[in-house]
Amino acid sequence: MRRRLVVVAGLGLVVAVASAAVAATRQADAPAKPAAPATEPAFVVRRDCGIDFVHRRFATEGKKYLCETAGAGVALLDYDGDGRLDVYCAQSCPLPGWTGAADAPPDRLYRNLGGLRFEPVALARDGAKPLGLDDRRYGMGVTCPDVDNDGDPDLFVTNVGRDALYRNEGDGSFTDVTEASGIVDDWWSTAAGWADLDGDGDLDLYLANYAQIDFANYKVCTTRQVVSYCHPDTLKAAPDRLWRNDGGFKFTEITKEAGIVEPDEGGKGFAVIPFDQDGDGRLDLFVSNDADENYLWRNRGGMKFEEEAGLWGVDVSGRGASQSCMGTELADVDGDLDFDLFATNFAKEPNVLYVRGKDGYYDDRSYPSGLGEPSYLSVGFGARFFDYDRDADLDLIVVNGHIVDNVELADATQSFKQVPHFYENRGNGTFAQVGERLGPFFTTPDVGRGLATGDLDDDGDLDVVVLENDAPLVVLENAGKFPGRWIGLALVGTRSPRDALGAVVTIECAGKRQAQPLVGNVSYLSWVDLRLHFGLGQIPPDAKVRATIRWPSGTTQTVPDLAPDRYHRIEEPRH
Amino acid sequence: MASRLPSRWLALALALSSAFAAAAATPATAQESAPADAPRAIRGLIEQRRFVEAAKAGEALVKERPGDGEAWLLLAYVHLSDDWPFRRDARAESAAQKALKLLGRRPDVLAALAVAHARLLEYDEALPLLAELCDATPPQVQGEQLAELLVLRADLLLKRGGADPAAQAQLLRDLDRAIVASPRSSAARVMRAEALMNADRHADALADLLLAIEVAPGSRAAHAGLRNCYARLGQKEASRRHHEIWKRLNRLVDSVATASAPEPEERRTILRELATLNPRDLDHRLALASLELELGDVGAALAACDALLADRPDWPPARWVREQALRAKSGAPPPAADRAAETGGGAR
Repeated sequence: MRRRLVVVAGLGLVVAVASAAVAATRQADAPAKPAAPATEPAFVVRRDCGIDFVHRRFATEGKKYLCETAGAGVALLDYDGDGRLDVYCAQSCPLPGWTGAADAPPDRLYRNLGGLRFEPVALARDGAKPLGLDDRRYGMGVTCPDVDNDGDPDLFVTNVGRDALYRNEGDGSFTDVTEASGIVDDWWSTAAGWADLDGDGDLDLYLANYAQIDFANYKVCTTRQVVSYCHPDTLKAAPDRLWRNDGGFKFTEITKEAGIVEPDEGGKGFAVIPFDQDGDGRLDLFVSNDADENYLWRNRGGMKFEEEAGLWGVDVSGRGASQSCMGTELADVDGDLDFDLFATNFAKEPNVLYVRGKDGYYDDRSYPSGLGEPSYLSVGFGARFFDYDRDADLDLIVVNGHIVDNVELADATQSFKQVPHFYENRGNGTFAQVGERLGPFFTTPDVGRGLATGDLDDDGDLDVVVLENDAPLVVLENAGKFPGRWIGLALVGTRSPRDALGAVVTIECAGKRQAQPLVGNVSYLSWVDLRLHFGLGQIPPDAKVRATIRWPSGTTQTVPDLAPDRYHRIEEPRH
Repeated sequence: MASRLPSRWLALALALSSAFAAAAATPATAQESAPADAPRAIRGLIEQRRFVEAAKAGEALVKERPGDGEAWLLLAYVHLSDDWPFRRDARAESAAQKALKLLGRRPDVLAALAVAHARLLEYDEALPLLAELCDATPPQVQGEQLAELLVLRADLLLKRGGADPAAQAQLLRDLDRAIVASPRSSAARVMRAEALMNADRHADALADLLLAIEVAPGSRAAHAGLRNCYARLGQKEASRRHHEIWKRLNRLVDSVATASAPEPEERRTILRELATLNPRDLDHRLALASLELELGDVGAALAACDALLADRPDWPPARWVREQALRAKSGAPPPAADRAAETGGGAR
């Protein structure tokens, strides 16, 4: 178990700042507190925040099913509409061969009370409707799309076995609508990519499935005569699937009709990133596969897709080798206003950065960017680009941890627990690994998996939540005090899906332009704060921000003169 | 990016080691009772890719002859084989260290130790050894061996200092030297092309890649490089052609376990497509001929061999497969499939 130093000094100040900022968020467009001058930036593990979730992977001795080392995801969502980000954690359960106590703890939801305090939401509540979230399967990923465009996030949990779709009833409770929705999938599922793929204003679903796993006839693998976790190649891939949203929580599977026919033996998907790769106004899908080539499903319109990852340089490494892509991100890493792709990889494969050129082709810039070498010995999972220090460029956090819990037997360079990394952008799209100076979290080895970012305390910087294998959930408060300013944008679609997934925002402030895509299911099996957060750097006191939003519907909207240091709610024009 | 070291290194190192061993053979001591030809047998096992057996034999040899530096060096080579996914890099290093004590700073020993350190990501140990080998006047190794070691150093510099202009400049200098030392080194050309593309010098990279593909028409890395380079140069059709070749080459080697690897029929389809797409790749055409024979299509095997021999008269492997096909045609049982490749325990 992790024993991390919990920094409590200055807590009162943090709570006070957070409370002020929460109030600012509730009152739309009210000014929040400008950032104070920075001295010592740090991320602080907040063990005292009220989240008591402990992930259990239920590792079976003698079997070592691959799924039990894959970990799980975490989601940040405002389920009760109070303006604060709540936290949902996926949990695992005993598998055949488990010899311990047969209890199956459910996934857990934690309500944000403000001031970085949380409370668990009980499944059964006196005098109130049951919560309705009681998933006790082997949890993998969590996504929180607004499936019915009613203004609240619904919940879709991927599992090893039947996935679960929960409708948010808007009264603090959920209803399991899996069977009725038509999204019935019993494979080992991982990532769920939600996007309006047919342009009809609601969210369709691309579901990445990992592998076929037969618990009754599981092939046991060994390392130096000791039972160990298998290479993914020992399992046959499970097929990815595509559903069209027909409205009213009804979906129709259209995988084959849409041309989603995976090449060769299929891929073992770990991430799905919907984005408009070719600028044709339709959302395409990047799928990261483990130990297989990645996919880029080009949206040809009419819900027809063609796989073209190889034609754009994002299927494999620059040297032509498949990688073990896991956590995945989409971000403008080098500030040229287009979006680059990043994926975490296995040990002795560096994390990969595909930098998009002007012609749409991507170059593998893993090593030249500085992201390659520090990651070479790590097994990366959750990853997220965000501007932690508000200096107007995107930095990167990556959590690591091997999949083989006895890897030391086979490889002296490896360990099961590995330190997380933090890469600071030098401002030109190259990075330096600076984790050691950002706090003890980054010097403590652990088995990191899911990771999500969000402004949990509404103080204008992004915090981090990390789900590690067999460990308490880590809430990492961004406690740095930086001179840079910021702006946050909450998009509300009208003709586009209400949560605006797939939108692209470009801002301009004091002569500098930045762009961000709105994707919920980034990182690893996780769901992030959907408010787009931009650091602005040190700008004149009276500087304003001009935002241009390209909505998924195709509408382009420009909003001038936005005030920094607060969140703005921007609604898509209805006509 | 791939972590593999230059694929031809092992063969070169073995050749180097054999030469030294012949020139400086250490007389066996009384306690050394292993057969005199044990080292030769181990070399044979390595060449046949029977790595587990080679490692066992190597361990037995050093146990019987703990004072024999050549035995330790051979054991290191077993564990340095690129083609063995379950090799033990740490054991390679300890064996090479032992060889160093017993044999001194011979180039083959230093090379083995440098590669072992590199595999273990011990750059600070590997780089001085590579400098000792490559930067002496004259260098301790020459020709292809020098080229391979310079490529190895360039790979380390890329990993360590990929974002550092000085490191990039040095790795380009190393690759220039490698190509001077061995102008037809495919590995050096592919590596330099990668460095040039990182520097946005795609036209220069293309020249290297075209030469690499001439030397090694079945090189997956070279086809991947050409795919990327042509795409960046706006030559989409050429890019697509190399993508189609690369894709098939990759499918043949991408899976380490049978659950995900292509079945023989799929392999045949892939190899037939490769023969059409990339007829200069004789190695994969030979693999196709063997597979046709294995799958019982003697006529196709003979036709494939005849075509190979037309392109490369008297090529021994093609002649051998053709002889086997003729035997099968005459009613003799087909040869057993070569299943020498090991899969180990299937663990990651």
